[in-house]
Amino acid sequence: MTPRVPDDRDMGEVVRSWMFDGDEPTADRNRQIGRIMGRVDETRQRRRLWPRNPFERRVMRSATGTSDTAGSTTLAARAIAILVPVRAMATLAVLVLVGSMLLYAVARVPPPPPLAGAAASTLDELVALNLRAWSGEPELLAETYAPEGVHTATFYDRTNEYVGPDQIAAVAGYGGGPEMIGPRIDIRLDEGDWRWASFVSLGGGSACLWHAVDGQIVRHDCMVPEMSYQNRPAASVTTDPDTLAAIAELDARLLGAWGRESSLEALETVYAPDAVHTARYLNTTRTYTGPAEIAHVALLGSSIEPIGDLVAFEAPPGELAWAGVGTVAGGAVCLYHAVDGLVTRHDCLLPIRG
Amino acid sequence: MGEHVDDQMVVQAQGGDRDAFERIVNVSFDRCHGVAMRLLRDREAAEDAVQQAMVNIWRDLPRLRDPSRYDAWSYKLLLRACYAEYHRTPRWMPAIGDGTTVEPHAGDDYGAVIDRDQLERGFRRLSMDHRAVVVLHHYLDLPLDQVASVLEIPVGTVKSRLHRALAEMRSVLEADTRPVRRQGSAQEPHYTTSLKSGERRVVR
Repeated sequence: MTPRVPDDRDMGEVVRSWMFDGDEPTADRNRQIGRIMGRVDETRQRRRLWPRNPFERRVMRSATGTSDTAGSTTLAARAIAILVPVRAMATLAVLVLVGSMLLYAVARVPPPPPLAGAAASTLDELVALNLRAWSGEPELLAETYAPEGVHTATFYDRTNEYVGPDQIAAVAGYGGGPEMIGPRIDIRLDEGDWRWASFVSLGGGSACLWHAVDGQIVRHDCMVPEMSYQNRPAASVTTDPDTLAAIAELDARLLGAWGRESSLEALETVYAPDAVHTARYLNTTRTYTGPAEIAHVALLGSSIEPIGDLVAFEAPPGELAWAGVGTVAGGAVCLYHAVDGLVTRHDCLLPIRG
Repeated sequence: MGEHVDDQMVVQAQGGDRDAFERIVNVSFDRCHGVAMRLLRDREAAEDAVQQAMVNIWRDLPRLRDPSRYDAWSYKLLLRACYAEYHRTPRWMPAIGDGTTVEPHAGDDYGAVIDRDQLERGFRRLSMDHRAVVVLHHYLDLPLDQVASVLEIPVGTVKSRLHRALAEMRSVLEADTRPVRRQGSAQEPHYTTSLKSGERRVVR
């Protein structure tokens, strides 16, 4: 007998027949159902997150029953048909209300502080923000200083260096925060570069030289005319005309003694015999004592031109203390101290490497 | 195919009525077991799959929004449990039958050549995706659109899977009915049929 294979159309019937062949109830079905129910007893049902779909229209069976029930069923169906959209609208209203409350709550949240690294758009903005950072809001330092920004404090005997906002935060706010005195002297630089000098009341009158690039401070070098900030009381600027005149006269002579025409004789009329002149560069400090040593550097370069006005500090009787910004090295700030008409200290901060 | 689960029982079970769910299990157990048995071709695996499917059905039942869709929904969960069981069971493990032998059908036209073993072998060659289509359509008697709904695939895919599944089973029958050529050589050619191209290849 030649075996015959069902064609495609008959194959379905063959498979169907085979599927039901031997389809007998499972012998131990009750035991298996018992097992299932045992596991069911240990299983908690998951509840719906939203009890019922409010947009669902319930399917109503047609009211074709007896005459006395047909009317009430139809009425109920109509009532539910009306109520379902009402329920949907009520749900929408609740959602809108909750959404509005959330939006209102979000709107009331104060805006977060500017992100770290955000740059100030103007020098005034940067200076104001940085003053806040130094006056009790150290978290702003990350905004005003570049990540690798450097702050140095040069005293007579040492220079302390702090790198990055975190280290600077350790000294920011010292003594309750710096009190700015005198005018800010801006030094013209290229586009995007800001350099300026500012003066602080600490240590008898300190001067700082700042350099910012793209709205963030990269250098902040300060010079303190003492061994520490605490050695001298806080200073303020003076408006006494005699003092201002004396400072102006001495400063003019001092500037005249420097430059190509400098001479020891001229320097001896300005500097006390034990006068100290220091030049603090970014990487070193050079010290010259007495007019003879000062003469070696006073001859270098051209004459010094002042930038901005002098800043005159209050000083004990017989003494003069002032600061000025000159054109040396693209803008250097110097602190001066004089006793009985002769300069005893002349400390300069130069924003270059020695 | 026996009694069906009614909406009332489903609603009660959704509310946590254990007795109602036990009635559902009683009503649907044989059908579910039949599906699992046909898909997995292994009694123990089928029992495990049904047990897991029923527990999952109980657990997720409150989330079923329309009780009238219980059947289709429960098949989805059953198929998922079968797939999981299929992937859990080592593929090399031979199916252990119940020891009964079945004689070839004598009452139909193909009884002389088709016995259960041939169809069994053909069916075992199918992937689970193809088996599912065959079982849902030919065992549960679901129309193609409902099969598509349960499997969450397009109807066209259901049709192509069904066609391919039957063609593959048919190819086994063809191979078995083909006479073996003996030429006295140690290397006897063995014919096989490629389902995709339909061409016959000789494999030595």
